[in-house]
Amino acid sequence: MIKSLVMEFWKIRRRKVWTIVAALLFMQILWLLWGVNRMDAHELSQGWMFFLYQFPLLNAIMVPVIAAVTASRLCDIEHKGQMLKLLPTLMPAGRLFTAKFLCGAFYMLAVVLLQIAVMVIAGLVLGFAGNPPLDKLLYYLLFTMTVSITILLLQQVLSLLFKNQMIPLAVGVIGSFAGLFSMFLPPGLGKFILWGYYGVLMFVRMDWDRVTRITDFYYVPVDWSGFGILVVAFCLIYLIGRSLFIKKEV
Amino acid sequence: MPDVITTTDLCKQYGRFMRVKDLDLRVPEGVVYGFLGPNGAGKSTTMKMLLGIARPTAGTISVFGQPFKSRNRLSILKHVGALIESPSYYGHLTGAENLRIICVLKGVPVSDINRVLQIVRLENQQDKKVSQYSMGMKQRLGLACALLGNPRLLILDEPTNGLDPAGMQEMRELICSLPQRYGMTVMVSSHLLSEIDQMATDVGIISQGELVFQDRLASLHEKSRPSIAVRTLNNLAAEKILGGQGIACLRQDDYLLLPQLSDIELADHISRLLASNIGVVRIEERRRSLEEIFLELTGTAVSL
Repeated sequence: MIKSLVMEFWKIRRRKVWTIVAALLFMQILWLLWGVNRMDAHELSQGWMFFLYQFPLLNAIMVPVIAAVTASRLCDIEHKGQMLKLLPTLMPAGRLFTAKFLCGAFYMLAVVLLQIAVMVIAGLVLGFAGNPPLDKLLYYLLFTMTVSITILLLQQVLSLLFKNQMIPLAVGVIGSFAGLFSMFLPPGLGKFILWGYYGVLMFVRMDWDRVTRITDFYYVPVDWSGFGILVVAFCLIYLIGRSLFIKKEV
Repeated sequence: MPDVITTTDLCKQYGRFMRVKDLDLRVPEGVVYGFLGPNGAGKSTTMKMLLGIARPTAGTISVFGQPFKSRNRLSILKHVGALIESPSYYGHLTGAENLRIICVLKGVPVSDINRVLQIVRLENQQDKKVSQYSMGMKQRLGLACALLGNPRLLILDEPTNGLDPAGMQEMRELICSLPQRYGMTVMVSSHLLSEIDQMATDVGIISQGELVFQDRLASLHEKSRPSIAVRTLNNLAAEKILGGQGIACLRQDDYLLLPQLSDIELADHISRLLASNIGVVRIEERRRSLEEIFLELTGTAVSL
């Protein structure tokens, strides 16, 4: 498997997969830093919660697009050069599927780790109250990664099954909108939309007082049942997608 | 010679359409086996089944004497090189980088890259991106990929597609040389009879998914040997007289087909018929071309 994974990274040399990831991440960070540059004392006291609220919100819009583009960039090289006729004679198709997924997951992990690094550095520079909440940041890492790799997995299945990459990319864009809108639906409904899990697994809520115009953030218990559903969804997409890819004849 | 590939009642069905029907292939070791058939006859489908990238609807495949199953497919394919339809490549990588990926996945030493590049004469283009290659160069790179690890069996599906006449000739000469130089068995498909005639020692002809001929190429040529057609006023009596002289006759329409005879022998037999009061009204030399034989076997016009 390690050999196959190394080959996946070798294959995407000069494909500049990281550029689209970096560009979208850069936009996301700029957006957030623009929001924090004029924080008052009250807001600085809730700085960490502000980040842990805003990042999932922006992730719901941007990460599905990053996942769709990453999966498409990793998979369309196989379609373009008709490699799917040759590779199954050299390695098990299932291993190719898994190696490709792990390669894409590496980019998703890089995105989340960079986000956390930006949160910590920005928080310390701006002088947020208290130390970085390590436990909350670990939850953020776990939940964001799980949602992102599940979306990536779905995108990979579509990108491998469809030669025309417009189909998975359209699904990615529609998914990002669906995920964002699901946050405005009654709680529970978001669980029916994969892209809505950035919202489902958010553990910070916002309370905006109309009269005083003061925003307060507060922690809520983690929705472990939602996390469980997501893990089941991941397993199902993995098993079904892998099986469809293995059975696909060229 | 043992058979490298054996198939028994191999079938492939797509929807209602039977693309390959009850195919019994026998590819002997150390030969260039030409797999000939018109476009859409089922050549590529058969080759895909031999590589495990299409699943047979029915029938069995045996490669190197081992039954070809999903569990041992990859261990068998370690000794097989393949080029199916058009070459497979990563256009954004160089030729050498493409070969390196195949080397690693095949478990072949990277040092083999130079050897195969020399065989296909791509050593000077190895650092160029494959997207900048001409069709002929891509085809040669595809062959280089197939040759990595010096496989015992090469499966090449229309390897001269898209090549110019000089490239086609070069590819054919290279394929012909492989059994002698490297001890490989080569199964090569084409819809061009002349091409198979130049390359192959054995031939299988497929038409509408069915194998209509399989033997040494020489026996196909045998069928195109000239014969003498004689028409008499009493073919029955003439057949009896010629048979008495040890000449085997074949009746075809109003003619008797005699094997190739020298002029003196023929004159002698004709005199004998005339002496028996059998009027000889036509004597013709007939020769069927390979194309006519192909047409007869497949019922399809052949591409020349």
